[in-house]
Formats: sequence, structure tokens, C-alpha cells
Amino acid sequence: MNVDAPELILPLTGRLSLFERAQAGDLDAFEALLRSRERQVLGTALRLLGNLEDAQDAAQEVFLRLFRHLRRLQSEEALGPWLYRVTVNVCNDAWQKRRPASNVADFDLASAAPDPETMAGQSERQRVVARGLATLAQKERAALVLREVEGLSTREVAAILGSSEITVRTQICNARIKLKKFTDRYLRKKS
Amino acid sequence: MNCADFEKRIAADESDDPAVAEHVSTCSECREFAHNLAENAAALRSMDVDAAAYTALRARVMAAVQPKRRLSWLWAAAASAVAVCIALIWLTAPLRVPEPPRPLAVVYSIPAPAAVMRTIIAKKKRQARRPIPRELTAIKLLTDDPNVVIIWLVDNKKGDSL
Repeated sequence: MNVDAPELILPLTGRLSLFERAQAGDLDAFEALLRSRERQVLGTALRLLGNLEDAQDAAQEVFLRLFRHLRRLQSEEALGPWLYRVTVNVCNDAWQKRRPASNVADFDLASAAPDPETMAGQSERQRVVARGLATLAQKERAALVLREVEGLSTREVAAILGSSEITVRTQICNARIKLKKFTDRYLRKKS
Repeated sequence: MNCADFEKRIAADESDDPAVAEHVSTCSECREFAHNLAENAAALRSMDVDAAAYTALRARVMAAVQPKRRLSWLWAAAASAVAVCIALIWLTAPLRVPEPPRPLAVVYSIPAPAAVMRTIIAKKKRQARRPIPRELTAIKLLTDDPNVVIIWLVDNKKGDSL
């Protein structure tokens, strides 16, 4: 009789990934995981809420949910979409509870532009775009941010927002046109 | 197709379509439209927060996570203490001294309770108005059932049972 040897499933601590160590309750690993994902979460929240304070509150809530649900995530690949989905949901809740102030002049931006001349022009457009984002419908804003900033495909955005690809494509298209009209109107008025 | 239609197609990421590309190459307005969309996208992507905001977020999250860890240790310690107590009680239980056998009857004198005294007064008044006995003897008879105890009250002077 041929008996297969039982497969040994012994986790070797040295070979565990950061994600697996965080799942096992290693707080240092969790902090490292937080570092690697903070730009994704806080950046998305900032664009969705248009206010740094609200964005930080939302990002904190997202990471606390991650801490509680980390063990339920099947793999590290599922982490990114999960974080996007929770970020969008938390921001939607925050948006409904308290609409962000229409004045986003205090939008805390650290321009990545190289020279001061470009930086000044970019900052102005950034502020107008940030203000314009606040005028969009929640799903349009989320679809635009996930696609334009995070570079996700239409299918990925649709999966995160729980919509069809056709709906997401329409939302992104409408959001771009509305945002352009807003920036045109504002920048023309300024000039 | 007019420019408004092409603008929708440009906004829907269809700029690579040959018909759209051809129109954009010849129409300055649609070219400007496409350029403005690209500028807005670039502005949206270049938004970022100061490094201090990330540090603050990290500190807030880790501070919120740490107490939960300590709390779980407290729960574990409390559960361990309860388990040790239960184990100690269980281990020391056989060492207890067995209770001595209970006597079948205990005889002692007690002052008559008020209700009994009132009954006695009424009874005695009805008979010969004799003085009320002050002392009674109570005989406590224990039965097999610990919940059933028979108390036999005896008048000390006459030896009458009440």
C-alpha cells in the first residue's frame, strides 16, 4: 500500500512575509504594513474628502478596521482592493455625516513640481481641481480618483465600487467633463 | 459627429480610437479639451500631503492599537487567575474533615415565643386562670430529611406537651 507522506505545514518565522507577520499579531510588522499603505489610504481619503483633518480621521478608521480584519484577508494581493473599498466606504460615511467645507483654500498640498514657476501654476490648478472634486457626485468622485490617481483599470474600479464597468466608464467620463467645466470657469474668472 | 460627441469620447478614454485621433489632430478645440483633461489629471495626481501628516496618522493608529493589545493581556491574566482558583478549590476539596454524625435529638430550654405564649394564655384563661408557665423545654427531633425538623415543646412545670 502506497501512503503519501503528510505535507508539513510548519510556518518558518524567518520566511514569513510582512503581511503574514502582521496577520500573526506582530505590531512592528503591522506598523511597517501601515507605512507601505498610508499613501494609498490617506491620499485617496484626502481627494475624496478635500480636507486633511477629515482625511486623517477616515484613514485612521480604515487602518483600525484593517487591524481587526487582517486575519480574515486571504492573501496580500487582496489587501490593496480591500483598502480601497473600505476607504471609499468610510469616506462616503464621513461625507454624508458632514459635508466638507466648500472652501478648500487650506488644502494641505505638498507640490511635487520641480521648479517654483511650475509649482505656482500647478498649485493654483490643484486647488481648483480639489474644489471641483467636491462638486462631483460621490460615486463619480470615487471612480475618477481611483482611475486617474491610483491608475486602476475600469474593471478594478467597478469591483471596488460594486458597480458595472459600463456605469464606471460613464461616471469617469461625466466626472472629467464636469471637472473641466469647473476649472475652465474658475480659471477664466481669475484671469 | 460633432465636437461635443468627440469630447465625450475623449473623456471616455477613447483617444486612441482612429476616428477620435484623426479629429483631434485637425480640431484645435478638441485638442485643447484633451490637453485640459490631461492637466486636470496631472493636478489630481500631484496632490500630496506633508510627511508630517503621515507621521501623525501612524502615531494615531499605533496608539489606538496598542491599548487593545494590553487589554487582551489583562483578559488573559484574569482568565488564568480564575482557572488557578478553580484548580485550588478542586485540589483542596478531599482534604476537608468530614462532619460528625448529627444527634437524633437535642434537648434545650428556650423562652416561649410570643405567639405560643398568647396561645397558652388563652388556653389557661379558659381553664382555671392559672399562672402562665415561663419556661418551656424544646426537644428537637431530627429526621432523615434534613429539611424536616420536629420541635416538641414541653411545659416544664406540668410536663404537658404543647
